[in-house]
Amino acid sequence: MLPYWLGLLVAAIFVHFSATPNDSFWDGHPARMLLVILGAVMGAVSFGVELSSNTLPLLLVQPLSRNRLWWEKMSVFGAALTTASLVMVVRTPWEEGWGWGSGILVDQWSAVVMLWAVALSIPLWTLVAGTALGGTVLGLAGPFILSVPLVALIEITMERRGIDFIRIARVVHTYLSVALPVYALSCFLAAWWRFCHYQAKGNGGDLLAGFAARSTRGRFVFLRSGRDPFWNLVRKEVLLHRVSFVMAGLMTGVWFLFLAMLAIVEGLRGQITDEVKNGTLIPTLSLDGFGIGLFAGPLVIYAMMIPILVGASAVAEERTLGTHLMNLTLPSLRRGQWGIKCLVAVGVSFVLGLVLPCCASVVSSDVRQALGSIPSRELLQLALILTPIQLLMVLAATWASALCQTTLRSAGLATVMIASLFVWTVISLNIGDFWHQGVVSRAVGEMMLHDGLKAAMILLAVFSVVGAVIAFLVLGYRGFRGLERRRWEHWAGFGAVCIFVLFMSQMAGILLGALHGQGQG
Amino acid sequence: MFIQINFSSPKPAYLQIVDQIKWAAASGAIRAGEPLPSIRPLSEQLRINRNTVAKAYSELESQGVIETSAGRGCFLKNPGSPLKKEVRHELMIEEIDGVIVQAHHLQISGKDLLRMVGERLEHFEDSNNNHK
Amino acid sequence: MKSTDAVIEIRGLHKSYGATDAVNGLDLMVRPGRCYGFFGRNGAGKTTTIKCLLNLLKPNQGTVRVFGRDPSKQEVEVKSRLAYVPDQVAFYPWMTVNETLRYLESFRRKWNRDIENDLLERFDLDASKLTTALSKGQRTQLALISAVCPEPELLVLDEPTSGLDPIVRREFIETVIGAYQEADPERRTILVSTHLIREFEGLIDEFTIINNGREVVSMEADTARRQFQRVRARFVHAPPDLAFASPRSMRREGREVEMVLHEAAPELLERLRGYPLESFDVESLSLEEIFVSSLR
Repeated sequence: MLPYWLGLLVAAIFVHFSATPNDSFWDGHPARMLLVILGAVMGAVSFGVELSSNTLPLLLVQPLSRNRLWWEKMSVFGAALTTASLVMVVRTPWEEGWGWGSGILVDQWSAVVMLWAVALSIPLWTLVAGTALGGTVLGLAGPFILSVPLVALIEITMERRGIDFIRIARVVHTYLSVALPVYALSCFLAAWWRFCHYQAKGNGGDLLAGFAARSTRGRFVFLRSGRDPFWNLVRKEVLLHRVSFVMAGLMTGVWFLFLAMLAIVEGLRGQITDEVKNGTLIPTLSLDGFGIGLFAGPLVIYAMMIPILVGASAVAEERTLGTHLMNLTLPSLRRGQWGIKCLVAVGVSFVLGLVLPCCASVVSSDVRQALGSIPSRELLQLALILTPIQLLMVLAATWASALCQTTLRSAGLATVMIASLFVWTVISLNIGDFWHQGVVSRAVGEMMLHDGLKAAMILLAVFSVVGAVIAFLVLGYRGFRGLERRRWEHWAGFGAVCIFVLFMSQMAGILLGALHGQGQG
Repeated sequence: MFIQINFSSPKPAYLQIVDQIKWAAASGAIRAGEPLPSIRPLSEQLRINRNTVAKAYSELESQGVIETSAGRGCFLKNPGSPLKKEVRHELMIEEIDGVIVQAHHLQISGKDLLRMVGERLEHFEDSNNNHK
Repeated sequence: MKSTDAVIEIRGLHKSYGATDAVNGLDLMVRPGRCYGFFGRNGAGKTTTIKCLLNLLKPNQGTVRVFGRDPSKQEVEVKSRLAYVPDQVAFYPWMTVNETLRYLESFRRKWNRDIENDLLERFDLDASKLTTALSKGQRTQLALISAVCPEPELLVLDEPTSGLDPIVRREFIETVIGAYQEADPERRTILVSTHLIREFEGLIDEFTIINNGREVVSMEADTARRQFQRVRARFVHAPPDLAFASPRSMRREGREVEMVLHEAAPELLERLRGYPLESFDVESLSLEEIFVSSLR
């Protein structure tokens, strides 16, 4: 539990120091999201590990009442949450005058509320899902469904009625401050009840995987299992990512539910036609970063999480299932298996992480334009930028998966790597309003742009991505094909991560500099 | 015919099978021309290596106790040994010498020995008659 | 039998995990058509050796040859001629029994559908059942079917019957004898690593007992039964000094003596019989007793 606690504190510190004005929680400030996710993971792990390794019966056999066991678990968790919340909200004396308006404090508090809401509901979802991973996915989906679509609905309906923004904000805050705690408390109590009445049934605890397995069984019929090992492997690999499919399904389901709710509300008010035509009804995903889109924030988080989840499942799932050994003893080239594995991971990540959100946002934009099947230019640009990023993320997560025993740990390792890249890029380019400040790499980027070295810069970017891809594939293969890991390989992996982070952040700096120069010029 | 392998005996399993089949033949439990159990079901029943049974059968065949006909299995042969009478008698004398030495060790007198031999011969005869 | 004909040949195998030596100079040779037993205590190095055979681990020192080939260099060639039944059997939970068999079949050149149907019927396995719905014994049976159907030349069994009920264990052994060995006895080799030595007693032709990464005993089963004997004797008078017999272990109770001999020879037994005895019993040790006696 300790590493998670530390991670939670670090995230809280980061949130504390990176708060800026004009930053609304729903814009999906990454650090806050990360904090919430970490809190969810910590809660899920406190139960999930025992559930999936079937050691919970061992625990329950101890001569302690279930109440006592429950509170012991929750107290550690609660302590971690409390410390993290205090770090986020409390301002030390020497921070006075840093420019924290009341708006910031409210946002920090809302982050705390969100953290507690998610965290308190996690034990229930973990008990329901049967694994730490499933608990995390369901637990994050719960408050998300409760807050984002309903809040969006409230905001838009009230805006239609011409109510001013301040009153809307107040209503939203009231709703959230009631709904979230109620949800969290009821989940917590339900989990407590369930724990006390827990029956250790033994087999088949993984709800999410079972559900995904049942619902995907007939689907990939076109990939028939026949005499060809290639298609059998592809089919097996695709089905290995069942948790990602569930997550994508949840996201899509919520999205369409929201659209349907909106349509119903607007339909009831008879105002649907004009708004749909103008495209002002539903906000679009714009390239303006984490802009005005209500769904944009969570959608971006989803687009970031899916590649990591897919990559992390690639090898670690097999290790958890126990089939990794079986595959290594089959008379088939390991290189071939690894190649197919990576290919399918990239493909699934592409479909679920890029194509799906693009389709979703296409639907949300001007419907007629979508029917005209010309996606907006902004969307294409975003897709173009996201593709190499997601490719790198999925392969980084696959490499992590080849090293770790469980999907959750691999995802954690990959997230740490990506997060360090982000953090380091921000740090090396100055935190904050970085569009208006420059350092070496950004200057290099601008210079390259103005000196007409645009092609060279693009080539450099492409080479660095290709280099990283090859590195991950090669290093990942080493972890995949063997059953043992020598100590130097751990250090080599750590070194690879550092090189990756340092190098990529400079590349990002160059590109950002060029973009900035383009924007200005 | 019931065959049983005793793993506590220093005698290899295949020899035990050979001896028990020979015993069965001598006591009339199985007659000439009757089929022996096939290798696979016997090895499964005794839960021993198939090759052990195969070895036993090939030993029996080389001793001329059984004969194999392709496709139909193994059959007990008519007791017609290919060895000449003198050779057979010599082999028997060796066995008899062994028995006499053993009797001396166990302090069985010559008279008792002869009586016991007679009893055992009668036993086999009766067994043969019962099986007829 | 030339050593080049050996199915498995291990010479001077060394494998260590960090500071501990799992395997410390092991020699092993398995000839075709034999059933080879590989016995040892937990942690003695059995699984490590088997993993080196399958190229799951790289030996630090020594040579490993399967079918005369190096498993780390000609991996696919070697693996296509053998089948492995691990101790922890695992399948994909979304596949049915039938789908699992089809999946595994696609990697093999040969697959005997008749044996598959025969065994499925014999084990009473429903082919459309999900693998998660199978009991442990049924999963092992499925693993065995998938190992026997491709008709491999070598069957490697690692703790195959641990945790199974007696009926399943019997069926397992009967299948190995019947379905596997029957078809081509000269070229069907079995390497079985197990604790349930008693069950495989009849199957084993040759065995090696390994301890602390080294072989302790290595001989044919028939020879072992001649050499490892337990003598129970009741002497008329007080028992004499029996040190000449160099027993492995001896138990005295009044006039009764029980000895375990590791190198019993007929002359030795004759000499023992020479003493005035009330009773004299000689019995071969079972393989399991040989195991216990060699390692205690």
